[in-house]
Amino acid sequence: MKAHCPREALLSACQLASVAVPSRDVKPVLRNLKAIAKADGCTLLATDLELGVRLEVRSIKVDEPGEALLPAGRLVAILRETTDEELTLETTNETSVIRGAANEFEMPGEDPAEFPDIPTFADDKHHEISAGALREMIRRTAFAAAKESTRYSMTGVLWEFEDKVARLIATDGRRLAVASGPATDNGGGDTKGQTHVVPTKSMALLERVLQDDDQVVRVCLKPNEALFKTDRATIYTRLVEGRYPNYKEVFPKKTTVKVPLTVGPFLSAVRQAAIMTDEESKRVIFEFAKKKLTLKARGAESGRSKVELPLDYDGKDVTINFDAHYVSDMLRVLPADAALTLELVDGSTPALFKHGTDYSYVVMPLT
Amino acid sequence: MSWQRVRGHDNLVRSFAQAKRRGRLAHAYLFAGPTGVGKRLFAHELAKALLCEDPPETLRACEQCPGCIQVEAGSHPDFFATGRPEESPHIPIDSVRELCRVLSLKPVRGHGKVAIIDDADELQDPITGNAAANAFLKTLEEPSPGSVLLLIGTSPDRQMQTIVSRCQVVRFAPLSDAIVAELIRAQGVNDAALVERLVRLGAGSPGQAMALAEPALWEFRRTLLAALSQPRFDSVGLAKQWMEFAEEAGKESVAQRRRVSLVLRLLIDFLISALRTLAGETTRLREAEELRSMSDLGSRLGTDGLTDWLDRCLEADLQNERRVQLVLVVEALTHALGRQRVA
Repeated sequence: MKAHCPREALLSACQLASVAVPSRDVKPVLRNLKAIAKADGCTLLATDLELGVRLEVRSIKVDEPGEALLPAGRLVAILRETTDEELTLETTNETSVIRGAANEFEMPGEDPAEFPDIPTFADDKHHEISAGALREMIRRTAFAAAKESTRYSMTGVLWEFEDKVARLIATDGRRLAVASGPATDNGGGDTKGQTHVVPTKSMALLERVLQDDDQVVRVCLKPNEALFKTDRATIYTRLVEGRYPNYKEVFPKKTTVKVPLTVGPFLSAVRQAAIMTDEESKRVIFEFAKKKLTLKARGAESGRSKVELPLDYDGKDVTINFDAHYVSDMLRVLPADAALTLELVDGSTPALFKHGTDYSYVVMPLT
Repeated sequence: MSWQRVRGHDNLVRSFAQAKRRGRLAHAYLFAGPTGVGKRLFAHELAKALLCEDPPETLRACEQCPGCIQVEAGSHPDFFATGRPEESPHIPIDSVRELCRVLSLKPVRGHGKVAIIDDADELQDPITGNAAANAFLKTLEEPSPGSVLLLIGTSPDRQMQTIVSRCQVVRFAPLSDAIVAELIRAQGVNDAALVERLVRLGAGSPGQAMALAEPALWEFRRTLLAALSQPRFDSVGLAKQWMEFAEEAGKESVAQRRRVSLVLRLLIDFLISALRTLAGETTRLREAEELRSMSDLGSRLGTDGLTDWLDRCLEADLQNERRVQLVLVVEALTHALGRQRVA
């Protein structure tokens, strides 16, 4: 194949596709990106057999169609280090050559047929969500998934579709985030009774390809895999096995206390109070009283902090302890001027943060 | 043809097929038996048969479907294999964690998942403790439905109780001498005397027999025996020679240790034969020169001396396995052998 590539555009596409290139040594062939050049553009493929991505790069001018394998790491390095506006890529079965005005890079070629195939989005039965809404939903949930756990189903994000509503759920056993948004059902059907848990790495890649807010993302959930398609990209991912905890049970049933909050000032107060927490205890004491919230923290060696925040609250006094991270993680993904409601029963039952009707976040208090 | 490469374990193939037919396959098996009798090959064939998408009969791979071809090529998305890396003395905990993580994904081709854990003896490690084995317990106890885990080790005694209790133990018997001889010949060893010796040394394991087929090893054995047959030998010089020979195996200490262990095997075998000859055993055919050096050594050391030497060799083998510094193992051994002669 032979093509003229604008460097910047190709670099950002390659960096994106590199997310799917395995970091550990599995099969050497997977350390490559596969480029398929056709008359109207070029597609980049990358996979670690768990997650795969097809990315269209439109601004490439193709002189001669063809396929090639290019080592991902070196290719990104070349694109990053050179300064040319445009680079020429020419490949044969033996070599791949990248040329700029004053430079030339030659790499040994590999057989493109050895690269595993990545499924294409062919299924007509799917759901549609707007890219902007989906990205926001991912941002608001993915952080809450378990980083490392032997309960593998919690290391991913659960997807649900029900009555034209898409719902993403993530939990690590101590906090739970649920975000929902409108979806169009194109034959995908409700997911009731099925479990579709997408690994967090795949979610991160999906979040990165959702650039244009008005775009529509097509989502196809199959029993063992999921496919996502935007204008430019198709992402294929395997699903995580195992039972997902029944998250609906986690929500406190009858809350007696409702505290209105604003994200910005609340986050600032929590972070101030958290300065005096230490490694051993991340505990921050939240004392809700009439018109006032007092946050206190004390560390064995670090000292103590006390922060006050005026509140529009007239209910009874409640004291509850949280790990400051669990609260600030959630506050950080919301806009600073957003209104938030904290619903409580008492200091020892789960607390529910609500933002509008489509975002809920449950945190277990520290005892 | 499926299972064709697996020799001498027909009864195991049959019992696995029967278990499959009755839907009674366990989720985890510990393959136990001497090194080199074909456990790994058996595990691969079993994996292929389990993942075959169009089996002509129960637990027999068709060798044609994408499933079979991908297992053979090592690219099947639902087939995982891990083991001890070449340069490492044990299985790293990260390999185990990674295996558990990929096993938590849903199967791609829909015929279940198979994982092979080779060198399972090395899940435990005297230095790093049992972290790798412990990391494995949860997955081993309750792998996702349709998964089969195959652990390959030498003996349940080398595993933690908690591992053994989660597996069904499958014992692999040594192969018959006829099969071992046939396999050795198939590897291109044509010297009849050598084949006979290797069969005896392999004790039913073609793998172990072939490990001893290296000509350099027998060359060094001659040097070693020549030195030991001297009433007063230079133990420091011999240790040096031995270490040089070990270092020829490569820079990695794992390779060097393997070589020292092979030499010890040959020496132990020689001492046992000498002991037998001393006790009057004559049935075994051996080259005249060999027989003479045996009886020379036997008459000089006596039964007690020979058993002392044997004890020292076995001790050195154990030290080698427990990763005592290699130079010390070899020097301590030659020193001890040299000293006993004076006494």
